Amino acid sequence: MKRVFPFMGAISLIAALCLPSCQAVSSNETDDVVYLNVYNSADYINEEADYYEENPLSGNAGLLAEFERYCQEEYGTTVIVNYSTFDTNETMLSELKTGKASYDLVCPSDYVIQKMIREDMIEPFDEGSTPNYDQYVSPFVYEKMSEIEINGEKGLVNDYARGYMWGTLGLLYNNNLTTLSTKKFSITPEEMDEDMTDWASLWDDKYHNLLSIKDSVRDTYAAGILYTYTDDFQLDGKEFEGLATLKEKHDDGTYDDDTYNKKVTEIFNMCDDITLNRVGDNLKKLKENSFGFEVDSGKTDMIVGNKFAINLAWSGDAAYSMDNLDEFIESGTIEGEEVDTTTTNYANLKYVLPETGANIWFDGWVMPKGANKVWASRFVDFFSTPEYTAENMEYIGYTPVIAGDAILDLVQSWYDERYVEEEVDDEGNVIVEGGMDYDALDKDNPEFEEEYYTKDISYFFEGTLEEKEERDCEFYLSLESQGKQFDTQYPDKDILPRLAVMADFGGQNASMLLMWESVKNTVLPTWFYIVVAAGVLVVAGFIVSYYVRKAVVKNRRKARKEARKQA
Amino acid sequence: MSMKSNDIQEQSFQPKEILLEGIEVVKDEKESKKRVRGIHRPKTNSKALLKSLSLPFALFLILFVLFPILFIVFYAFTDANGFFTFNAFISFFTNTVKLNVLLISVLIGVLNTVLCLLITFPLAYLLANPKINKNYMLVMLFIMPMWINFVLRTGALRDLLTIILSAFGTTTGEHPLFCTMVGMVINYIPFTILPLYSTMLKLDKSQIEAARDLGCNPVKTFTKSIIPQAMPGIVSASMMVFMPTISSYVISDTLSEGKIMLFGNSIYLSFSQSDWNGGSFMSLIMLIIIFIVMFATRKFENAGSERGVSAW
Repeated sequence: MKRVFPFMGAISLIAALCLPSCQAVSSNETDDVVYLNVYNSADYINEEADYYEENPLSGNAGLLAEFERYCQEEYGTTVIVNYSTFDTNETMLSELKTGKASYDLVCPSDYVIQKMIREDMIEPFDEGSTPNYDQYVSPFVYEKMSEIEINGEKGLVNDYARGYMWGTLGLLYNNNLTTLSTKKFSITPEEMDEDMTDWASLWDDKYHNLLSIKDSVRDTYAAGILYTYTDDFQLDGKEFEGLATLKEKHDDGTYDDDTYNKKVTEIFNMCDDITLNRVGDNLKKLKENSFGFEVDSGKTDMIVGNKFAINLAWSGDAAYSMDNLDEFIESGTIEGEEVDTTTTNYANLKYVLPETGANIWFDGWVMPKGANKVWASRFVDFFSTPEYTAENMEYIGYTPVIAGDAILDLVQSWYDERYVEEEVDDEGNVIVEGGMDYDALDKDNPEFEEEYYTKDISYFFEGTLEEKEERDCEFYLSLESQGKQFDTQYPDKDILPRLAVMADFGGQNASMLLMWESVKNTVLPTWFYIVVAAGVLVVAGFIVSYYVRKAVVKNRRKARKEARKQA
Repeated sequence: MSMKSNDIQEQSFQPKEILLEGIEVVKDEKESKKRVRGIHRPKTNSKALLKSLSLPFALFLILFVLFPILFIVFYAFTDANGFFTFNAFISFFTNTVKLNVLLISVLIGVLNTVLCLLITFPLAYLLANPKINKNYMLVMLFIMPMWINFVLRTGALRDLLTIILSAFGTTTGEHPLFCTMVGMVINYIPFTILPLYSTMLKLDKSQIEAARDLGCNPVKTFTKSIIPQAMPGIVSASMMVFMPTISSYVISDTLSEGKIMLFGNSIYLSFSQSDWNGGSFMSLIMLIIIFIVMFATRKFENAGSERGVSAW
């Protein structure tokens, strides 16, 4: 019995693992209570009780609590959101695949959405089930999403997913190199500003040990391929125009925006074996030239700026670093001590999308099979309301795909130079009303250009604003804010054609992983391997000879004993 | 002169005391066993009771040791659909990158073990000397870092190394191996100091004395008397360092700035890219190495337990 028990247990457990799990549908509606299971990245939704108080029924605070209240009011239904978070898309995916849990809504990245659609893991949204989203989603992001091809078909992503946040992958750099702990670099800020518009600078000896890259295959591969195919190249006997040539032809008008973007996206998504080899070789060189790999520590290291000066970064992280640096500098003045710029040396962070191309990404809500579609759609729609999205954006720091007046108000209040802060006296009376003072600056004034510049982001808000005719999306910004938070969150209009979405690698995933491992692998000099092999042989020889000698001695003893016995 | 003679007196008295104590202890044990068996408990009942007492532990072992191992074996020899295959086996042994990662891990493991032993051996010897270390406090001080979460310690060490290396005009990113080894040694020293310290406490001083008296120079005394006596401690200390180093993940990742990949990192990479079968096979390799090491050091372990030293 004792022997049988563990064996049986193992079999039953393995069987349980292999069989499709027969879990009960978790989002059941009993007694008018709806349980909605939502699975999202960590720190990716407003859960602060400062905004909306905790709902005692569910324990949720922030916008989640507000959603529950809204459902009660609007539909008379008690909804309880079971909100949980994941670290990486990959862990989430394997959890969904093994059927360990079932969710009504998940928020993965673009390439995972693609994979899920291809593997038939998710349900499409019903048409018209998210009216707010349909009205307020930015036309720019919507179009980017619809361009993704799945099994040769375009537009599927918009049937299966509703966008949530979007951003870019570029270079976050600190052009004040005096904050570094090693003071041996003498690159001027202007020189660096110029160099950073080119991916090749990462491979440049000048920045040896000054840059940090992402410890994740997809992101570092993006930098690698953009560098590898800068010049014209051959692949399978076919000639391709490199990214630099494409840019020239786009600049002189040979290619229009669409053609240019298509060509950049095509190159960006190459992952055949030959390309993998080429990029892999370049990434090995990049590793040699870099300070190191990181995924999480980079954004805080950049604030202090003592370890390295260039970081391959996601736009959200870049904005996070800049915000924290600003707070850091401000807090220095608030606490009575004025910041003396001669003794206190702060990093000067900027974010740039290099000229030959960069990556654009988005995360979106999807409904796994068996989800409660009605309430999942309502959840998505609630979070697509511009007013709530603005509160969400304020908290998370990433850029939502939702446009609309509330978002424009918020962004203007953050960045536009003409925005006037609300002033309140001690009794709570408003002295100066907050809002835009459109006459504060005159852009026709010749002095304007010395301190300010304008930037139009109507591409993002097109068609989502209520006062369509009156409201323009032109921002008046100070020259100092170039490359700062606003540029990070909303790239310039003329950058857009060179932003490409990176598709799922599909069948090349395994080869990609092998390439990545060989990049991360440390190769030792050949003589070292010979020494190690010799050492192992010597040790093995000793051990063998020890046992052989032992056996010989034993045999002799035996023989002697037998001889004695016989005698 | 007087000092010397005092020394000799002290040391020559000690063995007798130890011997006497030992005999007394043994006598006590024997008597108590007799008492328990003979008078207080009926034989049949006690056996059943003892067996039932071991049940929770057996359950624990089955649930948390046996099952996970079975899962690893199961995944190591199946494909993504759960069918039996040798794919993971073949792809591991034909992949030079993975073999190289394993080799580097083993080398770093050996290097770390040697460094830890070199540093802690004299330290433990001194700490075990009652003249230098009057109480247990000093030993505790060396073990204290273990009470702080080691991820935090490693993070702090990274910043400390940045400051130290900047004095030499360089950064942690330029010396990944150096920084990793510093982190490894600092993290694993507490694991070596305890077993070595407890063997050093039990060193037979009379044997060392005899070696000296019979004409051994200090070097020979060390190699022929102290090292053989301390062997169980050395072996268990090495075991505490070698295997965890190979599979360690955070230290190499943080301090080498991701530039040195150890076997643990490689396993993690496989699992994070949902290659469960490849990852499981590599975990199985780890298990096999553990078994080999345990098998090879079995002799010393037995000797150690006789002397009252185990891998604590």
